[in-house]
Amino acid sequence: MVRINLLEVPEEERYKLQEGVPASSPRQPREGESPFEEVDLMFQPGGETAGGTAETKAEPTPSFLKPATEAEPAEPSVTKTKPSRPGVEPDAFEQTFSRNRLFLIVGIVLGVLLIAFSLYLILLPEEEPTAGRPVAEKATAGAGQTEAQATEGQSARNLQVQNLMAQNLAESQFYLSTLNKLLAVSTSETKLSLITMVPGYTYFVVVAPDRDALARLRIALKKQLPLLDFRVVSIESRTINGQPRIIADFSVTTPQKMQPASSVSGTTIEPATLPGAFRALGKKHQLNIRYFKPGFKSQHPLFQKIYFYSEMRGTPAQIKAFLSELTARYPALRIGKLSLYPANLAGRPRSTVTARLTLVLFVPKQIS
Amino acid sequence: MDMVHSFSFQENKVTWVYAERNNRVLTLRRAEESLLPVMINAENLERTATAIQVANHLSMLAREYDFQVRQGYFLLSPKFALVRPVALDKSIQHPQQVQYVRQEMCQTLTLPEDEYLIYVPDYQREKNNYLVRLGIGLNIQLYRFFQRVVEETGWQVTQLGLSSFALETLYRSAYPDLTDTSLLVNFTERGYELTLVDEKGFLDVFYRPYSRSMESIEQLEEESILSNFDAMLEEIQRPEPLVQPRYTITNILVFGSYFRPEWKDLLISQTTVPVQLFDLNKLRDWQLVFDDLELSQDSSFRFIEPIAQIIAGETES
Repeated sequence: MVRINLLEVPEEERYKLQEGVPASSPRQPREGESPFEEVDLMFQPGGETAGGTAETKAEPTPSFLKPATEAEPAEPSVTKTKPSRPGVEPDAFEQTFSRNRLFLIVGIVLGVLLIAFSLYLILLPEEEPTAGRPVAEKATAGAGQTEAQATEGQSARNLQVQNLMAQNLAESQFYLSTLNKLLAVSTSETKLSLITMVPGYTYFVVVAPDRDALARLRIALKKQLPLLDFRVVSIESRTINGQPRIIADFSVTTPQKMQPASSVSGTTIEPATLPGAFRALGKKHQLNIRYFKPGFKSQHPLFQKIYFYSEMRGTPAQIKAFLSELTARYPALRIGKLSLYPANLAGRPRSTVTARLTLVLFVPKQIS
Repeated sequence: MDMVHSFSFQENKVTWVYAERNNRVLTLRRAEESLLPVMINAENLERTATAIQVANHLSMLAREYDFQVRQGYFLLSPKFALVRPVALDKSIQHPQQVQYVRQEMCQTLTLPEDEYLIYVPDYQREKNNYLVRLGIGLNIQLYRFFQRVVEETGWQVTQLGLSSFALETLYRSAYPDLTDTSLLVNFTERGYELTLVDEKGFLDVFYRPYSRSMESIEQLEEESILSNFDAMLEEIQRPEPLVQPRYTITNILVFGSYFRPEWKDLLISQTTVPVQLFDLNKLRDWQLVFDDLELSQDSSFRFIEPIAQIIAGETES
């Protein structure tokens, strides 16, 4: 049974409702603002438009608006306001209007001040490049201590980021080395028709003429990758291009975590510049990049993880060379998933294949 | 004993069932179908007024029937969401499973990811030695739309669900003896809503229009509606690149507000798979009492979805 109530928004999705309001979506009423304000009066329920009402609906908070974990009792959805006497005008419209206008003006002034202050902060170091040093010299002993602690924190963070990069590099190297070895055992009689690699697991499909050829391939795999345990998940007979063939699904458990690389070189990259760099490198390796798009983002104390999805076409050698250069150049990238498959099961080893790649970009957070 | 109002929304209409639930005796007091004043589609969702128009329409109906909605269930057509079964390796740990399902969902979304709420329900099946989990994507605009409808009506709506999951629960209550894969076919205005289930639960959901130009069923000839039924079944069981069948359907259950009982025999002649009308008489654990003159056992196939949600709501609680 699928038990799901769509009103119970997953924890990690709530930020979308709070912050990520798409431009095209209906605007949510702000505090103190009637939800009807921007709607034509013709859509208002008749009973609620009567003048001099004793009750006004204020920011309704039905049960489903609250997070599932919220423990506080529900606030009443209706608040009482001062009842107006019959025949007497309710609070003057002009008063409300001028109050709103005042808020608007104050808001604009504050906004201008904020922008001016931000500009001042941005431009200051450029105008006075040496200003930092004298200020540091004048600093008190207490301030110096705080600075030392901050530097210590900074270096600890740098170390953690470096470790992360080393881990990324090790994982990428493991993927590429396993891929290399798997492709190397593909002989003229047996062909790999699909390879999928995710952290901790590799899956591939082999097309062989008979079970003997499959057994030979298994021995070759054992020699090439002695530490990995290859398991045949399923075997089926099929006719491909008029020839009887055996199709076997292999699964291999691979280590979840690797020993971090001993040294890390390469450069950092901004999320905005990654698509351009990715495509340029793809072009260099003569790959046809079909798409490269950003996806899911997740926040961690030290960094932000951004997923990128891509599909490309090229020979296995071109794809390997491309991935090798990409991961060596940008150690902030980790391969999340890699799939390689030919257009048809009878594809030759050198023929073009399609690769689907999930990349994870680790963007270190700045210390505030 | 509790009084429940269950509303099933399609893009152009709402089906409303008001029932009394008491120890597995369900007394159906009233069932209504009403066309909505506006279509729930991408264009109209951008207008704030759409939610208010729909809310006013529902409030007007409630006043007309003298209803007070204290416990309401909103049920959405599966067309309103993206439901995708995602196969994962069993060795993947639970937190990573959710992450992978979310990634896979992100690959299929047609709008930026920020415009969807992604749910990964507590659902696990096994298929071909893989673990299958579900990803559900709901457009934020649509979520806000229904949120606004509830706000404007002032009703107590406690559940917002997808009809496929309620139908699956109803199916297992009504047909516990049916084994293998069954297809639940809901005849809606412009196409078939298809829920694939088996004795263990939900498998998949599809939508197939009656015609390429998405014409309304009322504008189409009876023959053209039913003639592609078998082709549609074949396409679901054996999608294009696959050689081996993906599913083998052994039973078909039909229902929906646009279904006509005389079509059953025509459908039986179209396909080799047994076809039957979704029959609420088969419910084992529930006793149904029809208290509405307009509603009887014979016409209940039109209100399967909202009834399913009432039964699913009780089964879950």
